[in-house]
Amino acid sequence: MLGLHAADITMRYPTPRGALEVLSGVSLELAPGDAAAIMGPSGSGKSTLLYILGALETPSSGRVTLDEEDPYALPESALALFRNRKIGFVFQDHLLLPHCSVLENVLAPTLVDSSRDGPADRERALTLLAQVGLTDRIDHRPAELSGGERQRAAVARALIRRPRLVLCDEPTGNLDRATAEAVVSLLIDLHTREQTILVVVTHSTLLAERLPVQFDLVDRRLVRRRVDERG
Amino acid sequence: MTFGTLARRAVSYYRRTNAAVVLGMACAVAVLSGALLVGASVRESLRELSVGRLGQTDLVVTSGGFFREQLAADVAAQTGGTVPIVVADALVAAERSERRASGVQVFGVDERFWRFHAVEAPTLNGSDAWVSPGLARELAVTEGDTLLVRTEMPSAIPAEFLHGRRDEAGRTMRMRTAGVLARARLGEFSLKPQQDEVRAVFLPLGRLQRDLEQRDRVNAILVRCPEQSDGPTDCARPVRQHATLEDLGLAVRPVAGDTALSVESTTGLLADAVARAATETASAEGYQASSLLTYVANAIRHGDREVPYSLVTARGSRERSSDLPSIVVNDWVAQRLGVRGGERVTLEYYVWEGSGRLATRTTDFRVSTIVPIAAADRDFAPNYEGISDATSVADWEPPFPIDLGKIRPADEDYWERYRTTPKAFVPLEVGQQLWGSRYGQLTSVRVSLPQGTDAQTAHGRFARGLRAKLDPLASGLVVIPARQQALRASVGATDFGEYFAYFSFFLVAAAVLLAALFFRLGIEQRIQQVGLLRAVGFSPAAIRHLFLLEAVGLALVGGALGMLGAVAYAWLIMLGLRTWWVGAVGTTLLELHPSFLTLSAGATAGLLVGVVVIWWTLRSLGRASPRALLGGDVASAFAARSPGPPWRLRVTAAGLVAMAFALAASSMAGLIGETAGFFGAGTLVLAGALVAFGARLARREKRGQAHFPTRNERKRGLSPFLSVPRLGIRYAAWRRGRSVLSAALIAAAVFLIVSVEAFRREGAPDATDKASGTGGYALVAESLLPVFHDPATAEGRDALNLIPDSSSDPHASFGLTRFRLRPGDDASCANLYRPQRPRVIGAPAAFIESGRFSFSASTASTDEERRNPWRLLRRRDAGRAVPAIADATSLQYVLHVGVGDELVIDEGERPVRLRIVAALADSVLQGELIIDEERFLEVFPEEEGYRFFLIDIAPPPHADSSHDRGQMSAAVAGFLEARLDDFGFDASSTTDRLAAFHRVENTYLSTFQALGALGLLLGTVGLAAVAVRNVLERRRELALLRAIGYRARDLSVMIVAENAMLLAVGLGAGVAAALVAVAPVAFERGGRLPLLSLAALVLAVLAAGLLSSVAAARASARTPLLAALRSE
Repeated sequence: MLGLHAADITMRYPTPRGALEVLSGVSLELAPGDAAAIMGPSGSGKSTLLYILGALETPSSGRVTLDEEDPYALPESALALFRNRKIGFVFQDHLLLPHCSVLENVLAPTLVDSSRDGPADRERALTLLAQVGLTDRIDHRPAELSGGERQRAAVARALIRRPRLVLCDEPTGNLDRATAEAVVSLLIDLHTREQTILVVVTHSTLLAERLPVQFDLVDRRLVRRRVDERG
Repeated sequence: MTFGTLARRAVSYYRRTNAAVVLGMACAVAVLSGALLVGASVRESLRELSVGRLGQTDLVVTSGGFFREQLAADVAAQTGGTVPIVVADALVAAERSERRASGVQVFGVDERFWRFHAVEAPTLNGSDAWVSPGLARELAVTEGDTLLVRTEMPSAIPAEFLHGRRDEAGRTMRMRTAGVLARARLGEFSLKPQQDEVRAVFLPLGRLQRDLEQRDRVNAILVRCPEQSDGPTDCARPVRQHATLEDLGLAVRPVAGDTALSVESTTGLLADAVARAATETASAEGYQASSLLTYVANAIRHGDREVPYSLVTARGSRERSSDLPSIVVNDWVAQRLGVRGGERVTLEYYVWEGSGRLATRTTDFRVSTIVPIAAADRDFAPNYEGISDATSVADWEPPFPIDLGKIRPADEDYWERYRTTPKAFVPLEVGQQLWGSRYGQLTSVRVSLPQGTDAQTAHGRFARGLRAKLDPLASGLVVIPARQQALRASVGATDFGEYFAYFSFFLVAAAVLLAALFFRLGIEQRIQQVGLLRAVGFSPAAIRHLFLLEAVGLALVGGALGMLGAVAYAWLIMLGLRTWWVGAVGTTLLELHPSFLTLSAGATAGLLVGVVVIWWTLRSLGRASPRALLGGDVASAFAARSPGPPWRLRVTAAGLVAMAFALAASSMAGLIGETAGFFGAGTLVLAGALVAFGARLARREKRGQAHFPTRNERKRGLSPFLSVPRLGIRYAAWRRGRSVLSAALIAAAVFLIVSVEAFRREGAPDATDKASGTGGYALVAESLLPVFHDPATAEGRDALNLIPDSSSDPHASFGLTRFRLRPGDDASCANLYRPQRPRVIGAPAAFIESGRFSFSASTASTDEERRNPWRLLRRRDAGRAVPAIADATSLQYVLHVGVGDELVIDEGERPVRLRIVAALADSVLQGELIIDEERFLEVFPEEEGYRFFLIDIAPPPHADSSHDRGQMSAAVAGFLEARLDDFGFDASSTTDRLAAFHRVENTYLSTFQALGALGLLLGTVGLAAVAVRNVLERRRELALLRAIGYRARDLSVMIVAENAMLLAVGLGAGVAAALVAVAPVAFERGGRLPLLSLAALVLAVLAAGLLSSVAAARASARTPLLAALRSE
């Protein structure tokens, strides 16, 4: 079955006082075109779950598949390629390469795929930058952009490889409200257009409510928020 | 709370970060102080060695001949102590081991020698010989072994004078080894500063005096100066006071029945100064003095009659009226020849020709007067050994051939009655033209005493008067300030400290720059603190002040550690000099001599440089807005003044490179010294290349383009960074300062290693090429005793027994080119001491005309001189010094003089001025200065015969391989050594000798390259450290790349690519700088450089650099990157 499937995910970290369980029996299913927000207090394990879903951190137990493919069963190099082709990330700190232009930053993910098509990638990057409203900023350095512009560039970078899954870790955490709303609109718009699975970890109820599905991470477990709980 | 407290707390709190700064400073101080300490230690070791070997000796009173042993006792009371000894050079052979050693120092001593030096005396009787440890090892002798000690037989009469004895030049003594004399008991006694092992043999003084026929006479007195002495001149005063005429080889004797005094010399000839003094003394006493030159005529001939073997005296003035020079004959001769006044007679006589043979010459005279026999007396002639004491003419044993068949009874009758009474007289001027020599123009000065003078009183008065007129130290005796010379020589031919400091320059610079870099990185870590300080009211200047205080504190800690490191570093270098690099210094006796003063000087200099560099890096700190600083904006923390637009940097780079080329060209044209050219041009190219690199980075960074787009990409208008490696390379422009610094560290070390390598001498020289360093000669040889006969003539070869007589003798034809030699200090790079009296050889005319060897520089002004610079030796510019030629290496590194400079050789009261007119390029003649033979005889008249040889070998036609030639050379060397064994002849291959010089030079280069390698190590450590630092700083960016699908390998590629680019730039800049810098050397060597080893070195550097980058990349792969992505 296509889509993102996480089953019975548990995550423990070893500490001097014994193992610290962050996630316990977390399960999640999202089909292509789905968008979900994960909320929870600081330290609840939201980012950990995000990294597990993004094939960045191997869970202590449980299984994750994306389009029926278990990334954690892949060898290291195939895992990297899996992330490169199927997953896009947007972080709270935009994490743009400071020494590269906006266009170069967007193109950065294309460099490690030997099957890439340079001109086509460039075209897509320009298209994405046009969609995020940065056409006139493609030669600028991150330092020359505002916070919102940087995050929009990061969104464009996340989508350059036409990923199946876009994971956002507090994408508006460092933005003012107006800018945050613009970035969220952009994310949702592009998600709809690209039919990706979108998972957003956030503290922001405002942002979470813009997405059709919300989860709370409570006591190490993921709980789907009911409609009457909103607001 | 003060600034100091704040700084102290920071130093303590950030101790881990600061450790790198402290280490960098410690490294700089250790290297600089260590280099100075090495220099001081070498100097002190040489001083200890030479002064220790002198024992208690301050001065040595010596002479060309022998003088009274009693003189030592006479002057003892007015000095701190004296001891008479006999000193000679010897060839020593050990009977049992069949080994031999030439150039061994022989000391004839008795128990007074050890008493003088205040050490326990060994038993030394009869035929005992104590040997130095070095000689014992070389000859493999132990107690009881028989030694054959062959030394020169002293003779007062010069060998190159008619009466000189040339065929009994040596004396061999059979001795028994009494034991090996330990160093502590003066077993390594030496009057000559030398770093290699002393080869000496100590013989009983009495035995040596007896064998050398010099009873109660010595040729040296060791003098200890009293403590209150005002230096050597003051200490030598008693010698001036107590020396007698006898000590100067002079005698005044009453002659002609006490009516006259005769002033004579044991040499048979009176030096001009002595003759002048005798005449002046006579004049002062109111006596008449006349100058006499008495010579042996083989025949006085008139028609078919002749009188054989007669003494003829030259005296008085010439009569100008006659067509022929006049001659006065006594009536005995007139009667024998039947000659009358006005008739012609012919004198036949021998003369000693400079080429080394007796020639028979004749001169016609016209008889002016016939005088009675009584007009002269037998004392007109000095005492001629083998003649004066003969009872008959038939008993004569002169050192020249005589035909006894010519002697008739009448001749014997004359001899019996009148002995050496001259039979004829010629004008003095004519006699001196015919028979005068470089040793003197008179045989005696005769002083006529007025009638009624008491001869005894007059004799005493005159002798005292003459003695008072003569300065003993200008008339035969020489005072050598041995201790002072040893101390001067100990300064060293090569100032190791200076050279190590030169070659450590880049190492120190690298260490200081690294320290500054780490200090700056430490500040960048604390950039928000800087913002906070600004926010609470600190001005940028106050912040810089605070950090400078920290820097000074760290520098002091680093300095203290560095001083300890310096001792360890210097100890290691000294160990290296004693072991791995012993080929350069030739001794294992160099020791570390720690000196706080030297260490402090190095530490102060190192700290000063370090703090200034840190101050310079801090100059822009804190100018950025507090908000940016508080936000952790590292890029703005050091908002340096812009270095200007890239074009300005490019122009600066081009200017620097142009200046470098101008310097190199000036060096090649001889306008500036090679050293200045070397370092100047190299440094400028290095600086230029790095500025150009900085400009390129600036341009790329400014345009926001990736580096180095390919031509194809440019054509297609594609974004140039489309690869992972280029993404890494791109980062170099982002941290431009760090990138340039990293490249500079590598470039500096590469520059040093490559440029030093270019000086390395590789390959065997061609022994057949007359323009090569061998001059085309196959062998170089030296003899202990002077050789007088000319081996170029059949007669000379016969006399020297050089005619091959068996099938085992070499079939090659060989030719010996003879040089006169004034022994002295080795001027080659093998001598650590600074030569005080370098060896000088006199080159014959034929050698000069042959135009062999190649020159690196000369003062030639005509085409003829340029074609053959040897001809410069014949220049006689009025008032100018004697022209001399020496090897370029000796001039630059040992004698420290250049072409055109003058060099004064200390010859006691008559210093010899030499002017360097040309420099030989890489030659076998590295140990000596070469002057024209004619000039040699003028300035060193006492040096006799030939003792230095270059030997040509023309092998048979079939011997065309170098192996055949080598075998032939060995055969000729063996043949010559065997046949000339009595002369202590020692031959060696020119290629071997040149190769030995090259080994010394190459070993020096290796020591300097070791410093370069240390610099490179520091550079690669720096590169790796910067790489790791960059990785840490970019942790989040790298984590992002991992998140979006970059493999660890991709990140490694990025990191390695960035470092490889820096490495390539550093290598390129270093190699380019080195090539420009060594252009003069390459030019001198006809463009030949050791390309293979240079290429190997560059590859090694590349490999080392890449390995360090890979290590940094691996370190980055282990860094937990994911943590950096977390926003919580």
